[in-house]
Amino acid sequence: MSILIDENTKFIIQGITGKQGTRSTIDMLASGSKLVAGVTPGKGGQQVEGVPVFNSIKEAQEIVGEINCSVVMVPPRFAKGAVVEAIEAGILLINIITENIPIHDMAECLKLAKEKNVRIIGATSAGIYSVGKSKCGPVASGKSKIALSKGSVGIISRSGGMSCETALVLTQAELGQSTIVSIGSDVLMGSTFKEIVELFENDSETKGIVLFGEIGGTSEEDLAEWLLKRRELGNLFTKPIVAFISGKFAENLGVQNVSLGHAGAIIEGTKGTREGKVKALKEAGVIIAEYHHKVAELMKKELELKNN
Amino acid sequence: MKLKEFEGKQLFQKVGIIVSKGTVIRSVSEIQEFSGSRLLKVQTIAGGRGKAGGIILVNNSKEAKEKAAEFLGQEFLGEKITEIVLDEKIDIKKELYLGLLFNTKKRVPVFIFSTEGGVEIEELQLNSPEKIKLQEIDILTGLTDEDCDILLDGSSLGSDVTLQLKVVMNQLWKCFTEFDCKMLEVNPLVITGDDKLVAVDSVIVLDDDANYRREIKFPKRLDGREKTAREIAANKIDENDPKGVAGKTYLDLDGDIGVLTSGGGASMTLMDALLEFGGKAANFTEYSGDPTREKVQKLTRVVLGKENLSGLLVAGAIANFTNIKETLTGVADILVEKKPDYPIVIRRAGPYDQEAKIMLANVKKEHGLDIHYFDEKIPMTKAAEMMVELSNKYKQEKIAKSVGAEQ
Repeated sequence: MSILIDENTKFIIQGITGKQGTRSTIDMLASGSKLVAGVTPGKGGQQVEGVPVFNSIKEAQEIVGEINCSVVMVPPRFAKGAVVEAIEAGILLINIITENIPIHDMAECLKLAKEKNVRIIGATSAGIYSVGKSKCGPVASGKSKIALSKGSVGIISRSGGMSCETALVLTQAELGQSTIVSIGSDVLMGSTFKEIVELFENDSETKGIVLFGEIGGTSEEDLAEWLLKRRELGNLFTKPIVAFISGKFAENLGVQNVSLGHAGAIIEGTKGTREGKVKALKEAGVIIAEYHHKVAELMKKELELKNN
Repeated sequence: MKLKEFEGKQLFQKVGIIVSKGTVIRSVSEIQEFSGSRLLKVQTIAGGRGKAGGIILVNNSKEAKEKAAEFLGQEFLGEKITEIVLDEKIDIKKELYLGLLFNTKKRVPVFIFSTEGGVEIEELQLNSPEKIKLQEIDILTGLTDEDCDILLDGSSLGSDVTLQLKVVMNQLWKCFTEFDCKMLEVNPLVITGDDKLVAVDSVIVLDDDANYRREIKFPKRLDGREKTAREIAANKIDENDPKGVAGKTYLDLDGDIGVLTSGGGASMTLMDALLEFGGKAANFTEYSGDPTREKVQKLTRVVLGKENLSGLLVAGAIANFTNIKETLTGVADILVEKKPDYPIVIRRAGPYDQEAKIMLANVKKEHGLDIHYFDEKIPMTKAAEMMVELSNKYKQEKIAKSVGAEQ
């Protein structure tokens, strides 16, 4: 197993003829992903690296058949349209790579996705990588693939670049990875830590989970709350979770998440700070690494403890 | 971007909300003769100006001029004040609170309403949370009559005011969606002596990602502090050269380790690591997205322009497509030019990193520079740890040397 995507997943790239789309096409094909089609309105009939381009997902489905995952790489102002198209075409997994999507557009996409039972990863995601099976998005492209090794640690990262670096430090400690999920760091995230942790729990291949968190938002606290609730209900989460939360420097500098202002405090209270996140996660049984490469050592220890 | 009170009220007016009548004053000479009470309100981006003494009752134009002179052009709440507003004094019967924002956990917009406005909403949350009403809004259908009824249920404001409030709620929803607000707040919305509703203050945070489709534009602002010469120089590097990003963010700090990082998450993680291992950065900056050699040269020159450095850290996570040789050659060019005697730790991996390794080995040999190059075999934050150790050693040796010279 693995989560979200595997060797049988059929991908489509929305925005395949763009610079990033083309680059990802080359890389996904080189990684063995089944990239069966691409979409760019008005460019149907063309090919990108041998992958057929269609004007719409519907057209693509008529020719290539089933598609399981759409990778959205269109410019931000077209992102909502692209996501809505994918949802309406019945695609159940959408990985949004596009950055800078207006928050109201994202809120609409997420509402629609919820109604139709569609899972969204991102926006501002660097992609998903099920090691040895398939990948989508720019994560661990080209030479940076050497960072990965197949194994049983799942990675969830709010930073795109650090998802690969996290895999690297695990590989160096001889801890392979099952799936790497870059969830992005937007105010409204398609999938948060908690939702991906749940998927990893049900994946027999995954024995432990490493998180890369950041200041701002409540994704870390929401996970902590859920883990605590599980404990209270006597349904303890048993796979070890190790997290690095960046932001020490930013908080020392006085850079805070001011974006939500006063009203934000009503919803979020004092959540959002690194200190608050670390405290909540620790209380929920998550092991915190004080510097990044320590995650490997801590995970190794946890997994050895479990095996003994 | 957060708006000032008077800017936010411009948006309120566009959707038909009645706001208190005020005049924006940018210099004392703009204050015209008047008698009678008005409120002098200092325009800040930071919250809490009322408590800090930024809202003052003045009784005539002479007083207004005196008070205005105390604020205009001066620092207040860490900002240089460029505007004050002279606002009408409103006959207040009751103050209400209305707000709209996104709940990040549920990922939906939430309408907040309270009949106890005027105080800070956090304070109300602490003291009487039962007086705050929250209603999640379906963004696809928009604010409904039912949503308004739920929010207003039990508020006992009378049918006339309630009817007016529903109109304002719909206007606020329009403001929230039409102008792509991340959040907005009216505190207080005043019920006047003759039962009219007037917005007396505004807090609006706009979504910068939607700037392209918002017709009304507001001037960009700095976050209070004036930029240093180095910061300005770094920010200019991307001008006329769109390939990659270099120096878009640059901050002068008071440490002694020069820093050139790559990638958003990686740069924060590196700065955290320096802090964790006891090092002090002289700056924070970042380049990424495969910038040209020339751009990296310029940024390196800015970073090395600082006096009394004890080290230079050039680091990033393993790169997908940034040409490591090209970008590090930009760094090496300036190292050769300045020939610093302090340790230089470089941790970069990605396309053409082995070519970069050879290039740096040559530069090191030819110019006697103390370069320590690592590729992906050493974790990124391990390189930060080594940087701190080498920089400490360098400082100790320097002290030992100067003591030796004195004796």
